[in-house]
Amino acid sequence: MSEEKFLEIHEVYKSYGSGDSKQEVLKGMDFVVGKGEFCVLLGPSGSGKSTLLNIIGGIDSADDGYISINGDKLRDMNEKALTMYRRKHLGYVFQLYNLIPNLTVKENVEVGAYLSDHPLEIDDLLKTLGLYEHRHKLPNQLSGGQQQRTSIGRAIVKNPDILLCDEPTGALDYNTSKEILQLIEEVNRKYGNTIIMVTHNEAIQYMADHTIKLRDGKVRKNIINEKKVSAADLEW
Amino acid sequence: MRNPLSKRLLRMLKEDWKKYLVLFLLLTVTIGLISGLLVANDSMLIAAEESSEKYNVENGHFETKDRLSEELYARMEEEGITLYEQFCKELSEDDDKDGTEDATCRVFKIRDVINLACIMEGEMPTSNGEIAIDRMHADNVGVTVGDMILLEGRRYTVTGLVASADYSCLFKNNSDVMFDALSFNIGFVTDEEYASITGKNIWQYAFMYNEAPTDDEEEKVLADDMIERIAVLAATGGITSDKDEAEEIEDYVDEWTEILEDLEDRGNALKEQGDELQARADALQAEADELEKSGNDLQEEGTDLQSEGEALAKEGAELQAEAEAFRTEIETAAYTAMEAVSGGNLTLSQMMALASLSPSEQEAISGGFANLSEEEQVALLYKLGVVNDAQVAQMQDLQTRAEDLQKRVDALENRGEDLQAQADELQARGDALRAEADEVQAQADDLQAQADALEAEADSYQDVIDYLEELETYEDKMTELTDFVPAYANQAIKFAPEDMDSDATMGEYLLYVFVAVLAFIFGVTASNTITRDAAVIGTLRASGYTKREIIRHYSTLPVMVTLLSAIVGNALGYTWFKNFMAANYYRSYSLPLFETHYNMDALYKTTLFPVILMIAINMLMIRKKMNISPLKFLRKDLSTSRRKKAVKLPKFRFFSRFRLRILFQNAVDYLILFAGVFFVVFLMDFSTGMPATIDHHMENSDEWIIAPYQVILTDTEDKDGNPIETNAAGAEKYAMTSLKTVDGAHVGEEISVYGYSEGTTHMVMDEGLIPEGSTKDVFVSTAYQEKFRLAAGDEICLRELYEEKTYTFTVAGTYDYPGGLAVFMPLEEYKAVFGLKDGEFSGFLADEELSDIDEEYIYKTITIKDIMAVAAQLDHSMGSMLDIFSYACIFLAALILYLLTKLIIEKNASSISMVKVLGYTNGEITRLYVLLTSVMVFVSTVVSVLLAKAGVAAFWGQMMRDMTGWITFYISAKEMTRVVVMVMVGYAAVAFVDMRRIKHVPLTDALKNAE
Repeated sequence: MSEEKFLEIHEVYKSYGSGDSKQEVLKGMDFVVGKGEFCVLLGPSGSGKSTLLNIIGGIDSADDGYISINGDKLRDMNEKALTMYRRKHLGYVFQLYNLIPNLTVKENVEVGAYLSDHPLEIDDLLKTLGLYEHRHKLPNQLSGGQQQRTSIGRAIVKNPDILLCDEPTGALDYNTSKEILQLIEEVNRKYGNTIIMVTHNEAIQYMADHTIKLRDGKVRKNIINEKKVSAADLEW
Repeated sequence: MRNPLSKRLLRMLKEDWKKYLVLFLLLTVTIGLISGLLVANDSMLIAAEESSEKYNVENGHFETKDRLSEELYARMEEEGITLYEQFCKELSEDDDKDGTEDATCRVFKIRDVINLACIMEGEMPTSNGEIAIDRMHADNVGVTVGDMILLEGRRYTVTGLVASADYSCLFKNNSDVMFDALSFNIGFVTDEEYASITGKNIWQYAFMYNEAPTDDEEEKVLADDMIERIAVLAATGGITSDKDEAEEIEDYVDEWTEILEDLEDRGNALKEQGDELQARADALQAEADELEKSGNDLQEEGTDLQSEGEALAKEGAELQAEAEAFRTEIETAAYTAMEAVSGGNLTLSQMMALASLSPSEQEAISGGFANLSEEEQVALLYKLGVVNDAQVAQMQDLQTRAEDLQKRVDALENRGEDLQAQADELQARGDALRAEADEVQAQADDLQAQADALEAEADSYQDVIDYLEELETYEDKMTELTDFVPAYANQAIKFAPEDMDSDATMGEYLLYVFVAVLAFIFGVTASNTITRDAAVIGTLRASGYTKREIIRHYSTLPVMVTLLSAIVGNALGYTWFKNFMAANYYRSYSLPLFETHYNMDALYKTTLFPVILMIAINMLMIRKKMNISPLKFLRKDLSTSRRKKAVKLPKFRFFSRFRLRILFQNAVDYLILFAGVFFVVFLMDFSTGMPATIDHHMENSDEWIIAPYQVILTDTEDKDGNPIETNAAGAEKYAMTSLKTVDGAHVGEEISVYGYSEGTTHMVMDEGLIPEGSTKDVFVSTAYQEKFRLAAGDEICLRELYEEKTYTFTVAGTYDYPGGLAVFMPLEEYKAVFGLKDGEFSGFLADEELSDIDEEYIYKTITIKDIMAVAAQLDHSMGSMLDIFSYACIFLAALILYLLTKLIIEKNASSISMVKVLGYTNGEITRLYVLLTSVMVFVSTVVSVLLAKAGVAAFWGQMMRDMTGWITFYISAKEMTRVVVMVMVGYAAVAFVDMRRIKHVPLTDALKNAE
C-alpha cells in the first residue's frame, strides 16, 4: 500500500432530475485513495456508491467538485480524453459481468488486451484465472463464477492503474464469491493495481486496505484497515 | 379500466420518433402513390369503357389489297356486320420543316359514325390545308394548335389535337412490340382534302357486329369466325363465305379445269393432226396438179412429135419419090451408057472418057455396074459424061437431104423414146399419189370421227362450262385480305387499358411486398424492444398480464403508424397523386378526357389490406417471441434454441475475429438487411436494366436487322410481264410470309417466315444443319428461341393468319437475330412448303436503297429506322420515369438501410456501451460495427445485383411473353456497378448517421443491461 495521493475525490456532488423531483445522490463526497490500495466503498442501497464509481470511471460526471488521478482532473477532460483515461488507467468489473456474448472467453479478454500497449500474456492470465480450459467457450456456456473471472481477466489484462469493481460478488453464491474475492486479492497483490470495490457486503471491508462507508450520499466513515484479513478467511 | 400500458405508447413513439417518422413517410408515400394509381387507373378504365359507346368504337377492322366491289361489300355485310369505309393514306410528316421526315402520319377523313375522335384541344378541320392530329404525338414532337406541319411537303395547319377512340395507343401495326407516338401519328382532314391527297390508299374497313357479342369469350369466337369468313369472301370475290364450300368450289374448278384443259388439249391435238393431214393433202394435190401438168405437157409434146413425124414421113416420101425419079433417070442413063459401052456406040468423048477410066472402073462398067453404089455409079457415069454436073449435084442434094431426113427421123425417134419414158414415170408417180391420197383420206375419216366424239364430249360438259364461266364473273371482284384486327386483339385499342390494368395489379403487389418488408422491419424492431424490455415483460406476465395484452401493446404502434399512413396516403392519393398518375398516363397514351371516380376498392386495397398485413406479420413475429416463459423473461434469457458452442475462428487479427463474432451474433439481422437490400436492388435493377435494355436494343438494332434494306414487292413482274430485278448492292431475293403461333408462351404471336436464297450474305447460318430437300427443318431467330424457350429438335406448329391451315417445323438451330420473331429456311424449301412457283418471291434484301425499281412495285421498305422506332418509343415513354424511379430507389435504399442498421446498432447497444466503458474510441467501435455493416451492405448489394439480374430478367421475360414481340433483357456490368454505387451512395448517408448513433450510445447502457 502506498501513502501517495493517487486518486482524489474532492467535494463531489451529483443529483438527478430537476425541480421537485430533483434527487441528490452525492452530497459533497470527499476522500483520497492511495496507489495500489484496495479500497472498499460500503453502504446500503441509495447511498451513492455505484454513482460515485461511475463518476470515477468517467462514464458519469459530477455536478460539482472533482475527481483527479495523479493530479489530472476528470472534469477537465473532454469525451476523447475521458475515453483515453478509461483506456489507459481503468479496468471494470461488473456485478452482472457484462461480457460480450458473442465473444469467447479468450476473445473477451482480448477485448481488454487490445486497449493496452503492454497487455499481460493472455494464456498465462487465463491459467491464473483458471479459465484456460474454457477459453473457447462463449459466456452463456459458463457458470457465474467463470463469467466473473472472465470479466476480471478482461479488466486486468491491460494491467490498469485502477480496477473498479461494482458488486463483483453480488450475483454469486458464497463459495464462488470467496473465490472471486481471493482472485481480486491476488490480482492486487500480484499486479499492484489500485482497486475500488463497491459492495454492500460488510465482511469484504476486512480484506481491504481502506474502507469508505457511505450513507445518503455522504462519507460517514473513512477507515484505514490496519489488520487485513485474507479473503480466504472471510466469513459472512 | 384502460390498459395502463397504453400510456407508454406515446413515450415509445417519442423515444423512437425518427424511426417511426421514416416508416410513416415510406408508407404514406407508397400508399399515396398506389392509391393515386388505383384511382387514376380506375377512372381512366371507366372512361375507356364508356368511350367504347360514346365514341362508337369499332368491333374490328380489316384491310384488303384492293377496294371492295359494291357486290362484295354488300355480300360481306350479309355476314352480320355493318361495314364502314375507313380508307387512309400514309404520308411523310415533317414537323420542324427541315426537309427530313420526322414521322409517318396516317391520314383519315373526318369520321362521323364510327371510331369518333375526342377533341382535346382546338377543333376539327373545316377546309383544305387543315388537319387535326393525335394529341399524344403532338405533345411528343412539340406541335400545338395553330402550328403548321408538312405532309408530303404540303403545308397543313393543325386546327385541333384529338384522341381517337381506336388509337388510344399509337400502334402503327398491330404486330409491333411497342406503340410509337414519336414517329407515328394519325390525322383527320376534310373529305375534299382527303380526295386531293395523292398517294396509295389503304383500303381499310371498320365493322360493327349487327348483334353485339355479350362477353369477351363470345367476341373472340365471333371474331375468329369472322376472320375466316371475310378472308374467304375476299378470296372468292363473294361467291361464298364458307371455307369448306370455297374449298369444294376450288377443288371442283381445279378438277374441271383439268378436265376441260385436257379436252382442249385433245381438241388441239386433233386440230393439229387435221392441219397436218390437210397439209399432206394439199401437198398431194399440188403434186397431182404438177403431175397433170407434166402429163399434159407430155401429151402436147407427143402430139407435136406426131405431127413432126408425119411431116417427116411426108418429106421422106417426097424425097423417096424424087430419089426414085432420079434413080430412074440415072438408071436410064446408065443403061444407055452400058449399052453404048457394050455396043461400042460411043462417042469420041465417051470413048476417051472410058479410056481414062481405071481398069476396075472399066470392069465395073462392063460387067458389074449394078454392084456399084449409086454414088459410084453416078461418079462413073459422070466420068463417062453420062450424067452432068447438075445431076451429080442433084444426087448429092438428094443424098444430103436423105441424110438430114434420116437424122431428123432418128432425133424424132429419140424424143419419142424419151417421151415414152416420161410417160412411164408419170404413170408411176400418179399411181403413188393415188395410194397416198387413199391413206390421207382414211386418216381424215378417222380424225373426223375423233372430232365428232370430242364435240359430243364437250357438249356433255356444257353445264360445267356455263358454271365455270359464271364463276369467272367473280374474278374481278376477288381480292386479298391483308389485315384483320378484331377489337379485342387490337393493341391500339386494348393496350392502354390492359397496361393500366396490369399497372394496377403490379402496383398492388408492390404495395403489399413493400408493406410486408416494412411490417417485417416493424416486427424485428418490436422484437428488439421486447428483448430490451424482457424484465418488464417477465414482471407483467408474472403479474397476470396475458400474452395477448402484451402482443397488442407491442403491435399497436406499427399498426397505428400504418393506419395513419393509410389515411394520409389515401388523402394524398385521391388528390395530388391521382393527378400525378393521370398525367403520367397521358404522357404515354392518347386517352380521352376522364372524370375522377372514387372507389371503395382502392380504399380497401390501400388501407385495409396493408393494416391487416401489418397486424398479421407483427402478430406472428411477436407471438413467437411471447411463447417464451415469464421466468425466462425475468432472467432475460430469450434464446429459444439450445446453447450453441462458439465457432472456432482462424487466427485472424483480433478486430477481424471480433467482427466475425458480431456477424455471427447478428446473422439474422444481416439476413434481414440482405432481404431489404435485395428488395431495393431488385427495383433498381429493373429501373436501371430497362433503359439499359432499350439502349442496348437501340445501339445494336443496326446489327440485328436482316438487311439494311428489306423491300417487299407488290408483284414480281412488271406490267409488261418482265420479272422485276435490281442491281442494288448486295441485293438478293427472298420470300416471306407471316404465320402465327398456336401454342407456347404467347398464342397468336405473329412469326415472320423467311425463305433465303442459296449463298445468302444477309442470313448467314449453318445450312449444314438442314438436310437437303427437307421441308420440315428450319432455323429460328434468337428472339423466337428465347421467348418460346425453344431448343434444337423441338417441333413448332404455326398457323396461317386467316386460315386454319397449320405447318409443323423442326428447329434445326438458332440464327442470331434478336430483332424479331422469325423462322428461316432455304428458299427452295420455302417454295415447297408454301407452294410458290418458279420465279415467285416476296422481295429483295439489299445493302442500299432500291432506286432502280419503280415505286409502284414496292409495297414496303423496312429499314433500321423502323426497328429503332420501337426502342425509341420505349425510351421516350419510360426513360425519364425510370430515371426518377432510380433516384427514388436510392432514397428508398437509404431509408430501408437506415431502419435495418438502426436495428443492428440498437441490438448491440449494450456491447457498444460496454466496449466504450472499457475505453474503446468511437473510431474503433465504428471500425467494428459500421465497417462490418458497410462490408455486409456492399456484399449484399453485389450479391443482390447478380441475383436480382436473374430475377428481373425472369420478370422481364414474363412481361414480354404477355406482349407481342421480344426484347432480350440486358444489363451490363456498367449498369450493375452503377446500381452498387447508387446503393452505396445511399448507404454512405446512413453510415454517417450510424457513426453518430454509435457516438450517442450511452455509457450507462452497459451498466443497466446485462446481456
